[in-house]
Amino acid sequence: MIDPYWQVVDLDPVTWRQIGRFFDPGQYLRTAQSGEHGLFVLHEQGNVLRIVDSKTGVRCDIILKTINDPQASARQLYATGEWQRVHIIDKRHLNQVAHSAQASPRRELTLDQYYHEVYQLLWGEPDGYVSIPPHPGHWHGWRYQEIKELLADLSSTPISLALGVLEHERWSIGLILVCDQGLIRKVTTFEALDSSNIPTELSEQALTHFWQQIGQICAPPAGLLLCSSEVFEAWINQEEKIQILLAAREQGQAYWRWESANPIPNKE
Amino acid sequence: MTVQLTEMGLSIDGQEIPVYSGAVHYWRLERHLWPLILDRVQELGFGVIETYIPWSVHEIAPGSYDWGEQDTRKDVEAFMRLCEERGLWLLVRPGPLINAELTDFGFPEWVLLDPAVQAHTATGSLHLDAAWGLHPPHQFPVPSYASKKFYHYVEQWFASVCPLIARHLAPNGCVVAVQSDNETCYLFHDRAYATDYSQDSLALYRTFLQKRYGSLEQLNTLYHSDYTAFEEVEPPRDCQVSGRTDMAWHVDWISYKEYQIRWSVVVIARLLRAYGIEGVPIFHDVAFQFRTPLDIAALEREPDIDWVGMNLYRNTGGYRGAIQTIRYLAGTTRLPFVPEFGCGIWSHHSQTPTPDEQEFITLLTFMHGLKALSFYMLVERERWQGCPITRHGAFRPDYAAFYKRLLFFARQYQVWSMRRSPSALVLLNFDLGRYTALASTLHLAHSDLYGFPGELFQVDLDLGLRWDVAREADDRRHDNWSGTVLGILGTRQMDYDLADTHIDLERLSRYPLVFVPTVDFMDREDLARLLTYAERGGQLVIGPGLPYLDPALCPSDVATERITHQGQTQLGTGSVWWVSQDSLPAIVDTLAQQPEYTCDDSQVSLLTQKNADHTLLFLANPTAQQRAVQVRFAGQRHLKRVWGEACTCIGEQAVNLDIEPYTVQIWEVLA
Repeated sequence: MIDPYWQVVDLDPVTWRQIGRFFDPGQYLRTAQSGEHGLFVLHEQGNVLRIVDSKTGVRCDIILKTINDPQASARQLYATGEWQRVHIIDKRHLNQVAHSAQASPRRELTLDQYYHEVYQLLWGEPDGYVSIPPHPGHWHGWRYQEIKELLADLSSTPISLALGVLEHERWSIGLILVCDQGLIRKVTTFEALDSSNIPTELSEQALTHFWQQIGQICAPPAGLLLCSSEVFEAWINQEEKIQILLAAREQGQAYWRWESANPIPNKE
Repeated sequence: MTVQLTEMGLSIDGQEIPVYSGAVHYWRLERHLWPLILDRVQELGFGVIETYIPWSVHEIAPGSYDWGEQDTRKDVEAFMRLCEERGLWLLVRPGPLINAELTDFGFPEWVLLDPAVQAHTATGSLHLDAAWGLHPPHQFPVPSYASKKFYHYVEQWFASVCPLIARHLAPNGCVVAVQSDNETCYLFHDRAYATDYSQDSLALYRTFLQKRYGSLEQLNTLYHSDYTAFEEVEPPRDCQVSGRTDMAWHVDWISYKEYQIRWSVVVIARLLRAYGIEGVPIFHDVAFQFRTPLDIAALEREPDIDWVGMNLYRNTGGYRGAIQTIRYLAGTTRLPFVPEFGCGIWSHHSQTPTPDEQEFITLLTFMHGLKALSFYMLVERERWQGCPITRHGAFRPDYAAFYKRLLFFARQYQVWSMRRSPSALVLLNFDLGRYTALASTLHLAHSDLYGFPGELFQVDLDLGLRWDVAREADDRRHDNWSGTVLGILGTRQMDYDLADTHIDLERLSRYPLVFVPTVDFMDREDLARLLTYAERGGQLVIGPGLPYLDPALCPSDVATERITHQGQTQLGTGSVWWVSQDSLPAIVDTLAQQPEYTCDDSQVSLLTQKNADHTLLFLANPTAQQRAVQVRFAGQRHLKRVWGEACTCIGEQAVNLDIEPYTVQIWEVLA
């Protein structure tokens, strides 16, 4: 997805501050959630090395010397109800993940493919890293493989995808991606567009305006979504994405155009 | 040297210039816009700019260079001539590493893909840059900074770029300083057992051991080993300490990692000199690390390195770190310098700063003694946003206004010549930093991504020590000995500097009072230097422990033969005070000079700076609430606000002021 030589230019600082939270690749890999009360048991081939509670620190009071069945131990600890998640981690597994991921220069992989490989290595060995509850296999309903395939299908020739999020009559996000051959070649913002007469409303007219502008300045658009910040948050964070957009369109809180035989992500 | 480093900036043929600079990346800007953009830079008030000269951009195939012949944006000499026409001075950074959010960090791909260049991790794999932190857009194998082949390639690059720079050296040209490499530190994977276990690195490690011990017998004695050649010594690949006898082996590896960085920066600096960079200072920028594997005091003592700074990217929430950085630079380096001072941010950063945040953090650092800086970036470019000037040469008004005001203000008050009067120096114990580094684990690629709590990376060592070393070594704690010292100085609004136990005696002697957290062990030379400081009239406060061992945990009587009890021990014309944590408030009150100005709100910071003509009073409110404070002093004061809305106030013993959230106020004391 990510072109190793992508161009990232003309970034409106307001947009960039808004989307900064998506740049932590760890959030797409890990099960540990920020603020979550977790228990982490590090062992090496069954010998427990350290037990750490994310709130209280090292837990010497938990008598657990060996791990014979990591899944069972995790379930047992989780069943106590003390933690929102229990992690039982074999140090040798982490070692193997690191070693395998870096076995060669990996130049043939794009960065997202590389991190996806790390994800597969981390969760591919059932007893290497045991998490209860387990990794859901997606991020708020977004699935890497689906997005990657959609992008590849869409962009046999250069196309644009764009998103506008309106908040307090201002575009808090105005993001444009130019994609080609399944790769994101260029990332820019509404700042790259003609600044005169940029509409600051959610409407069909605004949709048409941006569609034309993006087509003239970037590449022929294949998809454009304009929505309110509330709709955007729901669309990002909830799994029933198309239902959220359909309901929002009924209320004039979302407008989109999708020029593809393929359905939009999460299937209409 | 034609260009000399001074305490206030650079002296060019005797003319003192402050280093208030900003980054402009010529090759990323349209060539026809260069004149306009440089004019914009000068309109903001800048007299110095900075640029990288990126290796991979210019060496387009092995041995084939484009200096503007194919792509006019790469004509760096034309850029330099434009600077010279305008009287702009220039700092240049030719790498070899530059980062700059370039694909492959500015290294040519064929260099990175040469197996003889590649670093290796403790697991034996390659070390990819993606191992630690996010560095889009493409992963690459990190070079070993011990690789002979790497320096062979670097030398070829320098043979091309250095003569070109040399033609523009000051005073006839614009170039006033050159940087040796960039943030040299294992590409951010700086943990002790992460890397570099390549063959050339292991050879350098063994050379380091040979220099350190002289003979194999000495090493064997300390290691309790029976090696027959230095070539047999293998480094630790994780924390493998099971008892005291393992400590020397681990400490030596940690020390080697520090040495490798210094050695690399020096080798690169010597190459720069060898290829014609003469008469101007060579400097280096540290990314952010205060502790091992960075040893800033030792790096600045290297004869080939004139000047070391530390980069700073902080948002409002990171204000404490910003203050700590500047206090550390003030206490440690020749000229407190931030070679990359966040101005805007890289495009994969999670929080693009607002104009208000940039103002707050910048003023906060000036308040705490920053003397030189280069705003990175002054002009936007690909993969960077939030600067005062866009890549099209337009001002970004929300951001530009502050920098214009700042430069005007700095010139008006000659801020670079202002001095603080710190009443104390607080040292970080370098050996405690090394202990933290060695007593840790999971230095594996991607372990930063998994959301593990910090304690999972720590290893508890049972070494039979008297004091809680892990507790005292944790410089994030507020409840240990050094945290208590810093807390007391802060609440009493006493100004202080920071440094570490590797600074030299001359620098120690600038302070009447020095605090050092000490435990069971400490380097003999560092300890002896501190005692000499006391002998020569200094007041040295140590605690909670009294070192009776060296870092290898071998007996050491450097301290114990002269200090036998808690409390005061007179040494020469000064004293050593060995005190417990509980006794610190009383000791501070006894020994520290009371500040001339105080504030009744301990959440608000207050500092003064003076030069020959002005006294400035800085007040910072690092909270989200407006604060009404009373500033107290002896006698009557007439204050004039010189940053922000102009106003004056006169008070007897005190004045009352309101401070907005996350702002710095600057007042001139008129009388």
